[in-house]
Amino acid sequence: REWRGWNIHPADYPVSTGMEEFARLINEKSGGNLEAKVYHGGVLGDQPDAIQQVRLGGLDWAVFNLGPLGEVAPEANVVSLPFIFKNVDAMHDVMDGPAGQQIADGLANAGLQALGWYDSGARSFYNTKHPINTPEDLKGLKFRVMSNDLYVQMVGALGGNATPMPYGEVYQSLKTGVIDGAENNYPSYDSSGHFEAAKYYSVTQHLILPECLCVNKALYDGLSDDEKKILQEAADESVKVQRAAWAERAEQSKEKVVAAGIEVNEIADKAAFQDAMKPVYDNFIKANPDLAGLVKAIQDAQK
Amino acid sequence: MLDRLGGRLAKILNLIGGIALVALIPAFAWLVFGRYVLNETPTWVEQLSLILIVLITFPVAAACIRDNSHLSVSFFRDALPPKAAAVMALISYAAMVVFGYYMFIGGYDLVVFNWAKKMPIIHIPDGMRSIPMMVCGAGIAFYSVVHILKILSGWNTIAQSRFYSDELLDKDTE
Amino acid sequence: MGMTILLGLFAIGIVIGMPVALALGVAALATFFFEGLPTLIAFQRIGSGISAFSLLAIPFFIFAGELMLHGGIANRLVQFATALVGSRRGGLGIVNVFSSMLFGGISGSAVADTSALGSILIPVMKKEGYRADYAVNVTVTSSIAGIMIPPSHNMILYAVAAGGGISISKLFMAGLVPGIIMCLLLGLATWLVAIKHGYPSVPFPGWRVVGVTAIRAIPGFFTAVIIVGGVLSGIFTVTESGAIGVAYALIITGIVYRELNWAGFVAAVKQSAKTTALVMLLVGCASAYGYMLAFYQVPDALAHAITSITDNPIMVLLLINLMLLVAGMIMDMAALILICTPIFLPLATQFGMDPIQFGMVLMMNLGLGLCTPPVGSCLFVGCAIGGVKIEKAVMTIWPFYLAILTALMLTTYVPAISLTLPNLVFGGG
Ligand code: NA
Ligand code: NA
Repeated sequence: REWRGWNIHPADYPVSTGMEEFARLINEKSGGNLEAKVYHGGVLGDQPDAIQQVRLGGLDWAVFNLGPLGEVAPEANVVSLPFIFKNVDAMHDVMDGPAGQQIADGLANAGLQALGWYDSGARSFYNTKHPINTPEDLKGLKFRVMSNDLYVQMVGALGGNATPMPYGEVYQSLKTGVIDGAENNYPSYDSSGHFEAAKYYSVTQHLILPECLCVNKALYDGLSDDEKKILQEAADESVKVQRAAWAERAEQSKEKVVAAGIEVNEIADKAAFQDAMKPVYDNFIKANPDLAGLVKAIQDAQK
Repeated sequence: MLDRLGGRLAKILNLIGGIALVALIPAFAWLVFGRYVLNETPTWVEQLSLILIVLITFPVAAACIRDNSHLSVSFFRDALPPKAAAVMALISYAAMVVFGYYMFIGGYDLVVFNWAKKMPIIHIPDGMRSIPMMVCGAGIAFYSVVHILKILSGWNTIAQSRFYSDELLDKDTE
Repeated sequence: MGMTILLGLFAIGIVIGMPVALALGVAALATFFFEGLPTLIAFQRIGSGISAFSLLAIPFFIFAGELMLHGGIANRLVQFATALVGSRRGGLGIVNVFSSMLFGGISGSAVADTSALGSILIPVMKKEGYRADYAVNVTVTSSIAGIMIPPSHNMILYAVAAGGGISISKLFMAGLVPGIIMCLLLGLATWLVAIKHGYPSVPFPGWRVVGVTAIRAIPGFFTAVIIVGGVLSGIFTVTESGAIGVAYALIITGIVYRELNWAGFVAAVKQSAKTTALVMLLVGCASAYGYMLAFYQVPDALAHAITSITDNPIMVLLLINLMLLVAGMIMDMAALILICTPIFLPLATQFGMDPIQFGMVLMMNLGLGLCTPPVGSCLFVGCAIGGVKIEKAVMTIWPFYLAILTALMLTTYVPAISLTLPNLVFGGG
């Protein structure tokens, strides 16, 4: 039976390239025994619903962002802690190491077999008013965030006004001033057109959320050892392809928005932002005491 | 008897929906007020309103089965002799009983499956979102059964009349 | 096989008169069983289909429309329109079209428009010597203005069905020009038919009366200004402006006009909750059905079928329009928006049509379907109010169909009609 794969992105996105590569590779390596296809563009439901569908076996495999996965596996939430990764390379090292394995184990408990970590870049703040260099620069600004406690707390801790809002309303709201800013990676900042409305992009890189290439756990457990090996090899190769495609895409998008006249500023010293996150981290550990070790392991791994 | 019970139930279902609808307005007024005046957007409105919309839809949609106010295409039925049309209605209600049953079960499964997951921001079990769906499923099945019983008990009336319609039966039973 | 079950069971459900929402649900559920998919997912689709944030504006728009009906806003709009344009030949017909532009602009629902304006205007027109079928024809066809002229909850349904990537504000702006063009053409048809029949005009009451009726109508009309203006100025989001619009309509009808009492309020709440529930259950079930359409890749299959007939964009768009027209004849608008958007939108964009423009074509096309037999809720309501048999109304309706079809073809083949205004206001392409 052909495995049904879910993907939120359109067919020409880096994640999509990675998934198609994975499908091609398992087919090739298994001599045609394993077959997989991808439904691109989220036609089978949005992310939280699709997570449920893969857990239940209605879908067989997918690539999910670790943000929404945090709702089903608390371990996955750790990477949603703002500023937990120094940069994208550090994220790759951590996720490909023991900490990533611990998150994978958490996902396995939720019925998802993680095979590899895709890249979705680093999210930074952009707004219509002025460049952000210190937390004070966020004061009084209305920022759209995804509906997640950690992101709401993050903006609050930095002195901004967190405004959860569906993604589709953001462009219009930036244009007309319902909100002052939002946060995202370069490719989304570009493809959503938000750069037309909010020209100050400040490279805070506060969230570096990996995405998880995963298979329904029961399906995976029913495979032979050889097949499992094929899956892992295909996943590892597709991860390389996806990360490369992502880096290229991010660079293209950056060039495009810069050429369009937006103002990018790097943050010289992120320490003030990180310090402001203390209550967010404290809250998180208070609510999830058993994850304190994982948080520390991730931080230590980057020292 | 069943029909009168159904009537009372419909009143309750409509009341739930009406209250949920009215509640949406102060919630959004507060959202706008919070954003502009307090410069602190209430983050719970989005999540709460998603529950309210479910609370409007499912109970009231079930009550609408009782008075047949759902959008449907009746001209094929109208073109047929009354008995044939009544048979069509029976088949349609029977399918609705089955669907209502599965909706109840599906709703229940969703409640259980999502109970441990908490809704973001407002932190109540995500499974609660699906309770109104269970109510709707049960309501659809119940009202469809009542319709079936009505058609069967009014069978002779249907046989004598020139055309079939649900209103025709309502006159005899209410 | 699965695809046959999906399409066939739905067709059977429709034929035996099952509620459209449940026919969609039953057909979808059956294919879940057939494919061995967890049925839980079918109900997950229904639940998530309903609890979508962008749909929240729908109950507000519906509620605002009901309040206007029960609170005397519609009445005042008609009085104003009569004073202003009633003195032309066939003046009341033109009043009817003009009122639809004003009222439909606010309520966003063609059926509400037909029932509200029809129950005021059709009796008056009959009394003044207009033929009943003419009165019904004008009322019914011009009610499509409610869908085209913002705000419009059907456009929200479209934006959601299209996957949420389309700006609702842009859609609202886009509807204005095609809506007005359609109303002008309908006005022309109304006028020409009136001349042919030698219909009377009412005497011009003088500018003072025009002024007075305008002043009386303006507070009510402001509901639309608030909703649309709130969105455009960026003070509110679409949903918020719906809520603020309702709050405003409550104040105007309850305190300023003093026509909305407790009983009227309860009636408005009840009817709005009902309409909302009917639309939203449809949205939910269509979401489960749409899941299976995507699962079987029906849109791709249809695109292949069409492109195997012709590659000519003009012909493809014509074919899409024809299929929508046929579908619109037998089914109602909301369901068709939800079912047809995922099927036809990719095809239309593949042939170079902007999703916003396709939305306008879809709205107008399906709007026409509301006025056609055998299934057309506006036509039904209009005929019921006018006391005219549907067959009789349809005998003389063709000039009005012709006007809408002309507007539809213009909207289909001249992108600028739909796109100029939104691009002007919001920039970008
Ligand atoms: Na409108
Ligand atoms: Na029709």
